[in-house]
Amino acid sequence: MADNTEVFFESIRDKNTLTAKATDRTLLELAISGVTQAKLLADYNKGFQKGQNRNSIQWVSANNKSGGLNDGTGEAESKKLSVSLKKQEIAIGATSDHFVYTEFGTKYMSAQPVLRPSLAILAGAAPNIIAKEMEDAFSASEAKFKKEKL
Amino acid sequence: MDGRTEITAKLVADTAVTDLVGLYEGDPAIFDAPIAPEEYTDPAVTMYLTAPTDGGRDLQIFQNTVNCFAKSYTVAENLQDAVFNGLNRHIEGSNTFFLCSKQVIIPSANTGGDYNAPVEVTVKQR
Repeated sequence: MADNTEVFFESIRDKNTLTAKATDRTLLELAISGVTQAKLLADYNKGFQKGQNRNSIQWVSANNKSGGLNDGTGEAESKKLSVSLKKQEIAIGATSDHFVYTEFGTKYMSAQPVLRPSLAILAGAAPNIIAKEMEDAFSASEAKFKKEKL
Repeated sequence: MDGRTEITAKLVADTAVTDLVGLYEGDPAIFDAPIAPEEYTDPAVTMYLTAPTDGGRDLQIFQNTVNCFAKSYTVAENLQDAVFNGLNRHIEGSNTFFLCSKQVIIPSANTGGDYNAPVEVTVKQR
């Protein structure tokens, strides 16, 4: 009969799988949070009234997941974010042709940055998101072991 | 305010920058504002706050963007270089430090308009 103590150490020893899953969940939450924050900032002023600019804000991940494109009202955006990503990377961006001009402004039109401030906010929130996802992953692993032990 | 007073002071005193911009009402076209006056058409520098500030820090950190506008790509790029070199890792007064990065140059939105060569400036102040 297998010794449960041995099973316990073997489960916890598989840290690579545990951290990989927690990392994937963390990246997903960061991507969604970043896009959500950017769309909140984009929901107000000149350059964003018709909806296409805001609808073009989106995220993609290295494992081909994506979100945010055309999730609001107004004119739809046709282009999906196309970025070459390595394993466990995400990208947040906007594909509307005129987004760069609202983000950086022109000589006679004030900038209305939404991506850069949202990423700055995300950078501040990221440590808590990472800690929460890691804690949840370890708690789930512990709960699974306790269930197996029973 | 938020570091832009210090950025403006540093750039106005730098001939490498002022030689590349025009004059507006007798002063170098370095505007502590998001846009240039509508009637002004020569190369110019504008600036604005890019990210939220945090009033809880002992060391204040402000993220600003300095836009460098010119009708030609070369002049915009040269102006961007001059702004970058004039600010990056420099001190203004006794308590202000700048860290910069250069953005990709943005072509004009309209025919005959200006290229925009942004410089991201992190201002650290005690």
